[in-house]
Amino acid sequence: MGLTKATKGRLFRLAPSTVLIVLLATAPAWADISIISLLTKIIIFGVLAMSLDMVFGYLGLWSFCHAALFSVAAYVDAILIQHFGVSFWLAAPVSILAAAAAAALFAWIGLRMSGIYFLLITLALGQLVFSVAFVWRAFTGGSQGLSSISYPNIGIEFSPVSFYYFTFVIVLVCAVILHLLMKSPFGYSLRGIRENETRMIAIGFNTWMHKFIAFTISGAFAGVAGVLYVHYNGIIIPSTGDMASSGLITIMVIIGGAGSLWGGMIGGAIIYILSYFVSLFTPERWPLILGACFVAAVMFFRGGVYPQLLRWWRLASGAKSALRESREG
Amino acid sequence: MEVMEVRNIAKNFGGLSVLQDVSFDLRAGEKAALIGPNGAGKTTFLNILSGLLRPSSGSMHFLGHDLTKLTPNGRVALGLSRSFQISSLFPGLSVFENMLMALFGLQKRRYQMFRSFTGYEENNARARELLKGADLWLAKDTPVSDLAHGEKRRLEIALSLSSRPKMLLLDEPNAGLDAAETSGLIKMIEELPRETTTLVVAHDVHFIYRLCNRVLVLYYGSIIADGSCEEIQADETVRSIYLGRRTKDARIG
Repeated sequence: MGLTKATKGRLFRLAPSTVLIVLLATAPAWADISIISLLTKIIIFGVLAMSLDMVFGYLGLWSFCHAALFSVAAYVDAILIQHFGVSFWLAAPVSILAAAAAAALFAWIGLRMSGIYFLLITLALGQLVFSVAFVWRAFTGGSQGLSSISYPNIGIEFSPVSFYYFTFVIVLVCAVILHLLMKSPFGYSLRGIRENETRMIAIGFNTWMHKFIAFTISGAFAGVAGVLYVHYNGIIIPSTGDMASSGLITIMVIIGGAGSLWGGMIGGAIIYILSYFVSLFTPERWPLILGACFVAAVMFFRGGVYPQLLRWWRLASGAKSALRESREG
Repeated sequence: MEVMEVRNIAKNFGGLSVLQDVSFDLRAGEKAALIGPNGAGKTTFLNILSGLLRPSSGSMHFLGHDLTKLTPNGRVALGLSRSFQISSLFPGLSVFENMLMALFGLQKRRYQMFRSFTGYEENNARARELLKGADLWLAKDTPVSDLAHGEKRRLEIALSLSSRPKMLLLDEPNAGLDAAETSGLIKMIEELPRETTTLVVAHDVHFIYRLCNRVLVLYYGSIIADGSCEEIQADETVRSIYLGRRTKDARIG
């Protein structure tokens, strides 16, 4: 039985993400341990970038505190496990809730402003988290941070490969949830607010509430990334949540494609893969390369790398089907 | 029955007084026009009625509810809807998605997170009905940024109608439309339920006379005339404002 034209088109459109998922799922078969470690880092920061994209790309809010929300979850998880001996099953959800609560507080304070002023408030609040992590030595370890954090103790003896799969499954679940969220009435309302907030108000939306909820949910996903990161990295230091880190995540989203969800993951992959390979040859000049990539992405990939690749793929798809139809005709 | 009661509305921007002592009532089903020269305060007044601006003083009641401190979305929930002078749409979304967005505006489903935006059959059916009424159904998949000006105006009105408003505020709905498009727009408004009250801000007198049975004239922030189309046409003060002739009883300022 032949496939319908619509099904064929859908399969063709889904092909890139399917290939990507299959590549990631089979990574241990084709990659060595250092690449597995790099991929683990990429997908963890991919979730963080997607959480930022939810408010930056979809909602149009310039947040500069997502690294701080990420580090709130990482610190809470590490403190609960190291200082209080709490199990991972309890520490992880509490840490995610802590990041969501911090995001709710930041949104409650910051959403009185918009545009560049919102960015400045989130930047200041993010730096506040950094300062607390720096000075509250009894719990956070101060500038030395908290170290020797092992893989999650969930009854499995983790290796780098099994932790990669553990992370991969959680990241995939997060990506699916975020994807569904963005296709829902709530997700569309975020796009509506970005496009024309006045009109959204005029048709009955309480836009403040939508922004508040979106920012809080985004904080929770940043928290998921934070929990995974602290177990992956084994150490958490104050600079993980500083404004330079928030800036790097913003660059990931812009390079990958703001408002495309997967773009943040692609942007993170570009940055970390380049960082890995360029650092092998010229560690000191890595920031120069990053700067050049950022300029090139903005100039040649309007709207980001991922949306541009998708456009080319769809064009190729359209050209192929047109060619096939002309032959059949 | 009075639908809208406006009492002594004033609006100041710093030292600039834009509206002074504006008062009038509108009955259910009434189609009224608010006219006046540029800068008279018409759009400011509409922004105050719809809640985008707060009045400096005065009060407004809609169907017995005090609007003065009510949020804009609260006013929409009561049945007060508006359109904008410059088409205010969602340019990155398709025509159909724009319509659906407007339909979700008053539904609790707007907070639904795990069901598709296009997965509500009754909303899709209503969007189809509204777009057919606005003659936009064939353009349903077109991004709004690709629409012609007249199509954007029709979509603008269709969005305002999505909440089945009890009162509609239209800010220069026929701006930039040709005669045929204006006739289509009038037809759309005339097809509204009879009990829908309409307040239209416009400059085009012919458009107003075809659509409205009452005209309010705003001049430098004050209502200087209020009556039927014929009465307003015959009013010497209004004629002097529009034609530039001075009369001894012209009230200016």
